[in-house]
Amino acid sequence: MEFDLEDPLVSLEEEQTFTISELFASESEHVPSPNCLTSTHFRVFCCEAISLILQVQVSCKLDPFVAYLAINYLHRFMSSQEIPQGKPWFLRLVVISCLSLASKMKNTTLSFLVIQKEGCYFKAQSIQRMELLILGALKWRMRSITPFSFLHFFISLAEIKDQSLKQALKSRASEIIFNAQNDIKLLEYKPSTVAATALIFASHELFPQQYSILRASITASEYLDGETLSKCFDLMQDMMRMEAKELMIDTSFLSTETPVSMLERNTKRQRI
Amino acid sequence: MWNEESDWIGSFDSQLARLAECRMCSRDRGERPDATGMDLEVLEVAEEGSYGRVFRCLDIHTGALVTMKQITMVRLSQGVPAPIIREVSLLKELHHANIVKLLRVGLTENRYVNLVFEHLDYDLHHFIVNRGYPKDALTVKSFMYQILSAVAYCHSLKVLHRDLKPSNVLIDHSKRLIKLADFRLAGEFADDLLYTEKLGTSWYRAPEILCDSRQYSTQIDLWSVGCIFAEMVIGQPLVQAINCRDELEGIFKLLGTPTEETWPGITKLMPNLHIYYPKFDALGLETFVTDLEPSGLNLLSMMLCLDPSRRISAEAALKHAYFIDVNYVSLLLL
Repeated sequence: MEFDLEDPLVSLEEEQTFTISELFASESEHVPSPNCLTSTHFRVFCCEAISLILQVQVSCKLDPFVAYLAINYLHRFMSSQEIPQGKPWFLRLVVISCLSLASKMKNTTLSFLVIQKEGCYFKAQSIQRMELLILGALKWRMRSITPFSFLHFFISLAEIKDQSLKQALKSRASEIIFNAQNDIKLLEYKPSTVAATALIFASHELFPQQYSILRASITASEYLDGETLSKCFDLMQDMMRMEAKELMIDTSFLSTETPVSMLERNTKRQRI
Repeated sequence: MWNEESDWIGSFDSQLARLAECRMCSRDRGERPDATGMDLEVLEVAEEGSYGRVFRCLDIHTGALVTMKQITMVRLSQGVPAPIIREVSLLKELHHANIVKLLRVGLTENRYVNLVFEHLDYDLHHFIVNRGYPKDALTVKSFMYQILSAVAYCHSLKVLHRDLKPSNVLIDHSKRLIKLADFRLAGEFADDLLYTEKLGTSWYRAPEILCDSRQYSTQIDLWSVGCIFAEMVIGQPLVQAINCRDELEGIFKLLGTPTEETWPGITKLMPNLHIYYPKFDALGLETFVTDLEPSGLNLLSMMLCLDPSRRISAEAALKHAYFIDVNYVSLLLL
């Protein structure tokens, strides 16, 4: 058996409504349990772990989907566990194991040696044990339902006929979703809500003329709650403003080559 | 003196305990696995292979019969093998009345993954061989409808079965209920796309795979279903009914050796086709598959279509005229 992780739906021309409704029904089973989101320990641990995963993604040139999947496993696993204190190696072992599991699900080869070249080294046996622990905690449901699973469906609602426009929309929405994974607040929202929000933003950026049509067709979907969508929209808007603000700050440093600016830039570099 | 004697006795007791433990270990390792951690009692070994075994078990709590597939984890230098993770993860997402249910997943000694499935009385192979095949036309139709329902469901999730054959079609005899299963062992779905050649299993393999095509999709399962359909009607594997030196020759004798016209792309796929295979004229399905109503024969011909791009889909097959008199009432009455 084999299957497509990114797009579990077949062509919607065949109107397989049982599959669509099943996808929406089961998405809640692939998110972390709600109770953990209020825990400070959970947030701190996950932020540090995500940072490490993204470092590995850059240094090993991983498929972004592998990193995204690994972060999903991390959230689901840590939301079902007590975070151990006084074991600094635990975080790194969890990160390596989540990346390993994600790469296996995506059927890409990822050597333990490569992802561990910085920092302490774990034996294959230790990683295997952690992998089995994570698999058990996630009930072996590793084909996570992520926002990417819903993009095709929502795009199809708008009845866009231009294929290149569809593809551009999907690409930009995916990019927004990848960038959003840094913010842990998004965990409060279901993958379908995140997908819908990302598409609305993408359409506004790329195709302002189509924006109102697409937004109307998405918000009309029976599977989405309007109020929740609105809150998610506000959160993502804040995130994108922060992102833009950071870019502006970088730009403003470059525009003025005064001694004060150089000093500040040097400080920033040291901090990084 | 007394102390020396005590030490000797204590030492002897320790050695006896260790020896007994070794015997228990060797017995477990040699024959039936200890499944008490899974709350199961092992009844018998159903199947053996290089990468694991299949057992018939009794669920201690419910008293129900279950099937446990025990997969040995090999090549642990890279942790838990990817094929195991992928298969289990996939099975966990399949929920359909005509697909065998994975009840739970457990571990033994961090060396074996134990998959516990619901148990069904027979498989279709056993049914055909021992019970003279389902001669009742309505039973054939019902079985076909259920098989196609399961396949259509899998394909809608972009899941291929890839090894459909009668022994993977389980039957709840009293209910005439069909469930698809896959009791292949871990090593048989390695990451490479090439199949291992095994006696008998290639009888259900699609021609594009037999031609060594690496490009295949859902259509391969429809070919297999077509072979199963024919076998239910005639009581033996279709290719076996034809006098031929290999499966591909049998297919070409039956349907005619393909040309660029009948199968666009075949000359690129098999440049030496006409060196290895004569230009057979089609004997025709009706020559071998007798006693099947015309609409059934029509559906069969759409499944056993050489050109994969023209082969019928599972979804479309369910809407074929052959099934026009199949409804839930008649399914329940069976």
